[in-house]
Amino acid sequence: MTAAIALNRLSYGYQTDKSILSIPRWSLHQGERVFLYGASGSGKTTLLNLLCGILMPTAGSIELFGHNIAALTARQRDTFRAQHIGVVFQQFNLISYLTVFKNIQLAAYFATSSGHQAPGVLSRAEALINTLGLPVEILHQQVNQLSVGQQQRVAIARALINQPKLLLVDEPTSALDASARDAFMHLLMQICEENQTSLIFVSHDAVLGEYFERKVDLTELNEESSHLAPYAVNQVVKATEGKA
Amino acid sequence: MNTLISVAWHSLLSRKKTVLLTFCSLVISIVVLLSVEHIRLQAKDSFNRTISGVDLIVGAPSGQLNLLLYSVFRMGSPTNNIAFESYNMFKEHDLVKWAIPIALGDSHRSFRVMGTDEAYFEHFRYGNKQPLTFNTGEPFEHLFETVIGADVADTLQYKLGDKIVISHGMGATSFTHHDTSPFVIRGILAPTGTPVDKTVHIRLRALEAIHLSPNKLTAVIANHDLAPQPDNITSVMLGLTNKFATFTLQRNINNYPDDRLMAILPGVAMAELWSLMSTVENLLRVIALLVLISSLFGLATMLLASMNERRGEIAVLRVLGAGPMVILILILLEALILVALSVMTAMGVLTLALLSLKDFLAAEFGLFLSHNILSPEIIMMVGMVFIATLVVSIFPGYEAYKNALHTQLYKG
Repeated sequence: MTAAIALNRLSYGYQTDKSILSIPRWSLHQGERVFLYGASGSGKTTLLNLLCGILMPTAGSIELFGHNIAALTARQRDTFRAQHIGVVFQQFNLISYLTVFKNIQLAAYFATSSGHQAPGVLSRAEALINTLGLPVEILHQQVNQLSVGQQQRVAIARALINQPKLLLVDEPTSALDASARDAFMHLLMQICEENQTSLIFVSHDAVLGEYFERKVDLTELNEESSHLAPYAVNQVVKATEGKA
Repeated sequence: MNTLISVAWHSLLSRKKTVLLTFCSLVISIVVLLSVEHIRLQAKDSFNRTISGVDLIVGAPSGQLNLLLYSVFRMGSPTNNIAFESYNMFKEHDLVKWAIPIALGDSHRSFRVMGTDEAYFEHFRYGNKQPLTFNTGEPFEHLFETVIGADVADTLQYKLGDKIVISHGMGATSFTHHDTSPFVIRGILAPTGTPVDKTVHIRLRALEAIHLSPNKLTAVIANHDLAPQPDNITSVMLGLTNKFATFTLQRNINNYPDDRLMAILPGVAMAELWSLMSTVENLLRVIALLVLISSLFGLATMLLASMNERRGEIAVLRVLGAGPMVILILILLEALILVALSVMTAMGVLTLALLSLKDFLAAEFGLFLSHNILSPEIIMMVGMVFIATLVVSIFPGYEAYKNALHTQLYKG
């Protein structure tokens, strides 16, 4: 069984001589869920950008499900991302002037390389919206009429519409209150479990780490940032509380 | 592609205010551009249709443009007349196949009245050597009969057998009406798109008769044979037996010892008149073009200015798998959709404006404009507007492309 993610001597720097991220070897199994944390500057965002093929490594390889994405053309990478990777950010996941359904449909549109709309997008979207505990009518509402919590759940639906094998999630709960956050986490874990989706969950919030069996401190993993003192997750939480 | 067009469309809708203002400026500039082009084409067309098959026009010496304007376009006033004897001389001339006498000066409810004779309906040609045809009726037979142009009949709701009164001089407010001698409408001409449509034609002798003293006029009304030949007429249109004789005859006429005459070649005079207009025409085109360019820059500015608020949007699209090229296409689509809407609106506005101003333009300026603006030249113009749009939107498009290329996951 090929690994979902296999990093080998991965390094990345904005200037060639000065790398900011350097990971000798790391992998994630298919269906595995990992909680990724680390100090600011430990390279979390850079790693996510590399994983979804928006940044290219300066050295080393990134294999996703057996494909070396650095060897693909820019166009192929875009299509690969559309088809296999779902992404959810902290906020601004959706195009605000489109309806919820148009947003989801757009994700499906870019995943079909021929440009033909795959049939059944509406029924799949309805099913997902249902699973995420949102009313189906929400599909035809404008995104900017939704609450932040609803938007984040829609973002999950959008990220999952193409049944991606990998889900990258970056601080998705920072704009949610505690109860909404717990509901969101339960849903996310449940859906990933059902679909056997590999999940990388990035957060400062140590409490969320309790949902995961595997936790990775990027500060330690990244050789370029290991000079930073190993962080206790709790410290990070204190340091960043009230920020965003 | 449909999906992308829909995204571009909703993106435009989400920025209603700036988009609406840009739209207005585009519509105005496209209306200006298309109307200048349309009027230019139509004016040239209707101008060149006005007269055809006439070899020489003879009038009193003045400028050739002046003679052309009053004898053909019924604009302005003749400076002087020529003797009726000269017209008789032309009729007998070996080189002359036919001669049409023309006498101007009176009017009927601001339409010009032209004194002439049967030769006019027989020999006058317009457009592509088309003869005058009758919608209803026939050429005048008796003295106090008239043949009216299509627009006269249309505007004043005249039909065959109606009686009309001719006024002395021009203008609807003339104080002298020749009301003792009304004219019966004997024929209504088919529309020609030339000043003929706006002319009331009567017999030369009738025109002379209504200017007689009341006593004499009463006598003439009692007995049409008493109507005198006029002493003077305004001009004569000549058709020659041999086209090669045109220049010889022109020279002879200009040196005619018994009357002060001037002969012009309508083609040459028309070309001179048009070249006068073409300076204005080119100036108008340049101005229209500049107006268009400035609103296209407005469009590009609007798109560029929106780039900041689009950063997030571009990041989302990138994450969904849209390449930088797709982002570029989205921006171009927005520009094209907006311009396409503007072009359609502009064409609608222009057509409506032409429909409502048609009569006014024809009456005031002798411009016969069709409201059908879909000529090949206009379509080419519209094509050029789209190409210019693409060229100008490359700037914001490229900005979005660069943005998309360097975008990273949005970290709020």
